[in-house]
This record gives sequence, structure tokens and C-alpha cells, in this order.
Amino acid sequence: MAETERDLRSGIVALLPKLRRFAFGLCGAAHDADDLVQSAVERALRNEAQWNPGTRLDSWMYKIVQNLWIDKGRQQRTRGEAAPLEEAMGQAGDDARETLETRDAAARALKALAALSPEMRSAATLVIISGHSYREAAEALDVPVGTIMSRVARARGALEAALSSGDE
Amino acid sequence: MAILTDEVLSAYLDGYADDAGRAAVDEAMRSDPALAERLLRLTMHDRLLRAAVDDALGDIPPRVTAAIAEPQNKENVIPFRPRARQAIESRWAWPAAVAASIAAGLFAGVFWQGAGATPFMVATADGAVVGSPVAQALTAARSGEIQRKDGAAVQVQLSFVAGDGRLCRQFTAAFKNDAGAGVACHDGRGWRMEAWTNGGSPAGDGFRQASGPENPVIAAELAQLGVAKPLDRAGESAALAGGWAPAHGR
Repeated sequence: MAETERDLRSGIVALLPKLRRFAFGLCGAAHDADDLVQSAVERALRNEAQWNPGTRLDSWMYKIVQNLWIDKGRQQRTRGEAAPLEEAMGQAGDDARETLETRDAAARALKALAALSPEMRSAATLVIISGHSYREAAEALDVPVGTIMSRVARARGALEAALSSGDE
Repeated sequence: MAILTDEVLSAYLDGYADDAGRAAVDEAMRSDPALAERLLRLTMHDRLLRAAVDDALGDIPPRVTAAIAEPQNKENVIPFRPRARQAIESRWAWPAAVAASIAAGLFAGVFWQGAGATPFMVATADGAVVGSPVAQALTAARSGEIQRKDGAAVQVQLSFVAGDGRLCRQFTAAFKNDAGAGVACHDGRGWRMEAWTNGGSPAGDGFRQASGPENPVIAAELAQLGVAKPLDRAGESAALAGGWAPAHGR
């Protein structure tokens, strides 16, 4: 196996957690996110020649994920606002009364994320969840840094509104 | 003085405020405890969202790792549900029951059995690593040292502080005709296997290093755990002496 392909595979492995979060941010449900990541991985390996090893692999992969998501069409964009929550809640045990509050908070956080526009969600997942810099997020999403800054701030505002209302 | 818009505050949290913005936020926080509290709250919201998304996603499904694995390299991959994460999640007061309920019944443990020598269990179904040569090496061996016991050879390759503060070790092990690699973390009470892959055959000296950090499963687990800090020799000595208690504030 060529050195580049090996590098590409191990690079993608290291990126998996971030790619899954990003995909989750786009489509809002874990199963769909993994479908998206799986397709992105397959596409990346098929098009290995298009990757220039000197450049950022994460940007390239994020773009593939995003393009696939756009290709998959509109139906997935609006899906998943409630589904992942029900899925996560349905698996919870019943022995943890004290966790109800945080489950509720987590549910509200996910709901707030789902309610954002896809543009805000993708900026929020890259920066808030995966810890990318504004510059890296801007490069991955092909928008100016200032746009990332305002999208992240608005996402935080929505999160704050969703979580603070239940603090009392 | 800069106006403290939400955008400035948000950029401040991400370390992206310009000098004037940063100075203004620092100054305002000194005189306004409510602002400091709000920023803290926003940070907590970030963490909550991160935990919520990661929990909703769960472990990387095998179909995704399989899409990356080299085609000729068919290893027997055993994903452990990370029950030990309960410890961290409860620090966030996060619903441990979610993780625990998924973990139950997923996996029956790893046994190694060879003719002659006594078989031993590498890890139980819930990921506990107890009483095996692996457990012993994790607790007592230095990185690089090969420990041999009951027909098994275990070598720790890397000790590190994970993103959640637990001390973890990546190791390879060989027993009879089996070899494998894993990552285990200490939750303060004992070792828990976070990932294990079983594959290949041991080299002539009864030890095989091929399935180390370059193995996709191990690499994915290391990425997921977040190697916050690899331990140097002194750090490892301290951890050995300290019984591998989680490294909060270390």
C-alpha cells in the first residue's frame, strides 16, 4: 500500500470523532451522521489522488462531508430535530432521578442546536464542539472569519436562551 | 472602551477577541461578578452541548472503522463500551445510565486460551481488567518493559493523561498463538478496557508489536480519548507510585 494512502487512512481515523460531530451538526441524528461519515470516508479513499498531502486533511474531509450532505438533499436537513433526543432518552435507565435534570438540559442543548440554521450549526459544531479556531472553521466552510465569529455567537445565544430558561 | 456585545464575549471565550476586546472583558469581569458568572455559564453550556452530542453519537460504529481499514487487514475488532466514562460524565452530572444501559450485554469478555497454559481473561464484559497478566502489567510495568507471566507477554507502549483527566495506557499483549493491542484507562478504582483488537500471530519471541497506535481501532480510541498529555518517565513514575489515580489538576 502506498505511503500516501496509509497516511490518508490514519489521518482520517484520527479525524473520525470530529467528522462525526460535524456530520451530526449537519443532519442532527447519530445514525444519519455515521452514514454520512461512512460515505465521506469511502469517497475520500476513492479520490485519494485529489488530496494534496501538504494541505489540511480536516478541511478536505469536512468539505466532502458537507458536499455529500448537500447531495443527499433537503429531506435530511429538516429531519432529526426530535429523533436523536428520543433515541438518547429512550436508552436511559430509570434509576437516576438526579440525572433527569441534566438529561433535560442535554435534551434542550440538542434541541437548541437542531433549531439553528444549518450554517450556524456547522459553525457551532466546528468551533464549540470540536474546538477548531475561527480560521480553520472559515477555511472548512469557505466563509470569512467574521462570519464564523457571528454565527458562533448567535449559536451560543440560542444555547443560552434554551438552557437558561430552565435554570430556575 | 469596547462594547461588550455577545459577539465580543463569544470571541473572548474562543480566544479570538482582539486586544481591546480582551482587555475590556477582563476589566469588566473584575467589577461585574454577574458578567464573570455569565461567561462561566456560557462555558458550561459549551461543555454540556459537547457532552450531549458525543453521547448522542456514542462509539464509532464498526461499519465506519471498517470503511477505513486496509482491505487485506481483517482483524478481529472488539469495541468496548466505555463504561469508565461514567466517572467523567458524573462530574458533569451527565446521565451515566445512558452509557451504562447501552453497555449491558454487548460483549462477553475477552478470553485467551492456549493448550497447556491456563487461559486467562483479558477483560470482562463490562471492560474491567482484573487479575490478569494484562492488569498486572498496566499497574506495575514501565513503558517499553516486556512483562511475562503465565505464558503471556505484555508491553505498555504509551502512558498518557486522557482529555477527561484519567490516566490511560496503550499496550500490546501476546499469549500462545494470539496477539492483540488495547487501550485501558484507570478510573480510580481499577483498569477499564476502552478498546481492544485481537489479531495476527505473535512474533518469534512471543511478542508482536504490529498492532500498536497505527492500528485504526487503537488510533481511533486514542483520538476519542484525547491524549491530553503523554507521560514522560518522571510522570510515569509518579503515576506508578500513585496507583494510577485520575490526574485531575495534575
